[in-house]
Amino acid sequence: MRRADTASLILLADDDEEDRELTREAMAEARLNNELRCVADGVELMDYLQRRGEYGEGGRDATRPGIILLDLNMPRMDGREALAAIKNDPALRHIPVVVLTTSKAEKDIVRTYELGVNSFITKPVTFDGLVEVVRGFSRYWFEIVELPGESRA
Amino acid sequence: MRISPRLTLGALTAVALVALVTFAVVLVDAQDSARTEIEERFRERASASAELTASLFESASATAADNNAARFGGATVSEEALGRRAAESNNRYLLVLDARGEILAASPGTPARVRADIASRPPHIRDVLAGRPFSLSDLERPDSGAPEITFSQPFPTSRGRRVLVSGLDGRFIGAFLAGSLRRLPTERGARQYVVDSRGVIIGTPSPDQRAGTLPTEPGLAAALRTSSMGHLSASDRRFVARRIPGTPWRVVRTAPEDRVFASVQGINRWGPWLLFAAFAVAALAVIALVRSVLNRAAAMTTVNAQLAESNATLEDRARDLARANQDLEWTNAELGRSNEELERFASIASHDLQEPLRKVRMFSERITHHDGPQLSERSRDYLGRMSSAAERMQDLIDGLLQYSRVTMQTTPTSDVDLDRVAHEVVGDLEIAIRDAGARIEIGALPHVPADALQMRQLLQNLIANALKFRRPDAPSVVRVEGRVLDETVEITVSDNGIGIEQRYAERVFNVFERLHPRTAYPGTGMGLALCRRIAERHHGSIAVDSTPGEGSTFTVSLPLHPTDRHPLQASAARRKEEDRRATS
Repeated sequence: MRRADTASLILLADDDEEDRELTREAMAEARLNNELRCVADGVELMDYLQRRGEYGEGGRDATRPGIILLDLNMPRMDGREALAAIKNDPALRHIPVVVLTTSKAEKDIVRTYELGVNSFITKPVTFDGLVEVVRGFSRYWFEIVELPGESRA
Repeated sequence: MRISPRLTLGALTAVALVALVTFAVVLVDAQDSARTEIEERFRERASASAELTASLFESASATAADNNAARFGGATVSEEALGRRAAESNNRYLLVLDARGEILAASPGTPARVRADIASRPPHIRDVLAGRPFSLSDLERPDSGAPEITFSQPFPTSRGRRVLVSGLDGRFIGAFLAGSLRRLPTERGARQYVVDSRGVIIGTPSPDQRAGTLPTEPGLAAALRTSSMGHLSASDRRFVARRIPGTPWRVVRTAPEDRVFASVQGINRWGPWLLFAAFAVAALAVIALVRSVLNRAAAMTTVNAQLAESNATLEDRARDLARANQDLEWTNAELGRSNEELERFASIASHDLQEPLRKVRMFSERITHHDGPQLSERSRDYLGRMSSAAERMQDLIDGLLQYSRVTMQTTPTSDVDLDRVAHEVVGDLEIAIRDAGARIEIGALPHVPADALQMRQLLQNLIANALKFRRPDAPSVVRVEGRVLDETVEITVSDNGIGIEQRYAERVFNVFERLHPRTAYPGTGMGLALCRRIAERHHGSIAVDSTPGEGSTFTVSLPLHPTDRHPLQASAARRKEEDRRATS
């Protein structure tokens, strides 16, 4: 895989293939040029970020993403564990993490903010709603706020 | 790869059936265990009554022992003093016995049969001579008059232990026991008795039963001779008998079978089945829709290649739908494994069901977006209906979730300022109030001991309801006020809306009940059901008084001292809490 541009790369961790596909379609609909890469669970996410397994030396490209979109309920390692692991790793903790989940439970919201999440978004129930969300957060994270560049990594 | 539509449908149907059957089996199992728990509670209530009654006697005898020693502990006991004491304390007679049971003195006029009875050392005299703190005889009916009970208690003196034997008026004891039983909470239609060792009634709060006789409930007297708990088939009632510790007497409770099991009958029994039916209907609807979409697509394939392409897309989508449906079935089976209480069950089911529904909606939107122009008018119409059905099911599930949370998420009772809650609710509803052009009047509102969050839900639903059912031709006015009546707080929410015919006044509080088509007034029919559930959880009630075309008044009554009126429920809740702590 070619190397991507950290500043605009979005890494999505979601075990649901349909949701990954819908997010990709929503980005196309919102005319976003950011590259979207997907991993299926917390284990693969940590492999990617820490350049291990198939993302190790000589393996697939593991360009550091500009932002991570994280589902909470995933097999092997769920979003809460992955979030804790990212925020505990000095090399990774500056990457903004946005939780994108079906949960509206107060305890999930409180718990993930305690773990240091940057935003908590509930998955919209319509496709147009999803397009709005994708458009909104990418505008916020890639146009409005300043993010640390790869030099930090 | 293409999978034949017939095969997909067959598999889908089989998976749906297996999941539904599993779901049903687990539900039946959970309801059975709820029933066993209720039987246990029914028995515990009788035990609590018996212990309470025993403690009344124990405390009475403990306070009397010192007085008795002072009055009747001398070298000689004056029969006149015994006579005066008997008159003061409403006893028929009093006797003092020595440690061997010989009569030292008796109040003047003590009947000879009493002396003879004591001389024969009946069991209740033997008990107290052997060291029991007090004893009670069976109900005795001397030919000369009213029923009588012999109460004996030892007291220490410097000359050794003595026993004071009192002849009590059976009617007086009966009335006293009836009074203490009446204060205990019961199922509606329940009867309570205190009976002696032969099953003869000593006291009862039931007006249709008489002390001094056997209970007239068919079969009860016979059942009491052989067992301490069971079912009376003649009257379809459940009974339980519990010995009053330290006495030969028993507390007996009976209640109609359907009242005892009220909490696992009616809405509580069929509510989860309703959810089950909703799953089944949703599964059938998805299968039917998938089939019609597939059939339509297959027909188009034969027309031309372009249509064949769109058919492939449709099949893809159908597979996605089938997968979404399988998710739903899997969720059902997963939930089925949980044999937690039914409320929790409903809550989890509602939450996880939202997920596949969301997919159904999103993918049908995508079909319309991508292939809308190629689809026939009919397919587009089907897709539109499918989306709005999924949206509606989501609303229904949300409603059920809220409904089940009323009893599941219990927060401790606190002192709630209803005036403040009402003003906050009006603030939250500001936009709806402005849109309706309504005026909300808040009168005097008291404080009430309650769950604050649920009081807020209650007022919010009642006010929103009043706003929704306003008359189009008159400016809407909603009035909220409350007052304290005796031991009850009464909250009323009145409006000048379209009103309800009186024959529907009870039905509006049922789950999913609607009196108007969805197109006229949107909503799921859960709002007032939620209000009733909240009122009942607070041991209160809700009712509506209405004139069609003029307006409605909803009245919520809540007890001002719920814990005083339900002491045993409070202690049961505490015990449950302790159990939980012990097991966690």
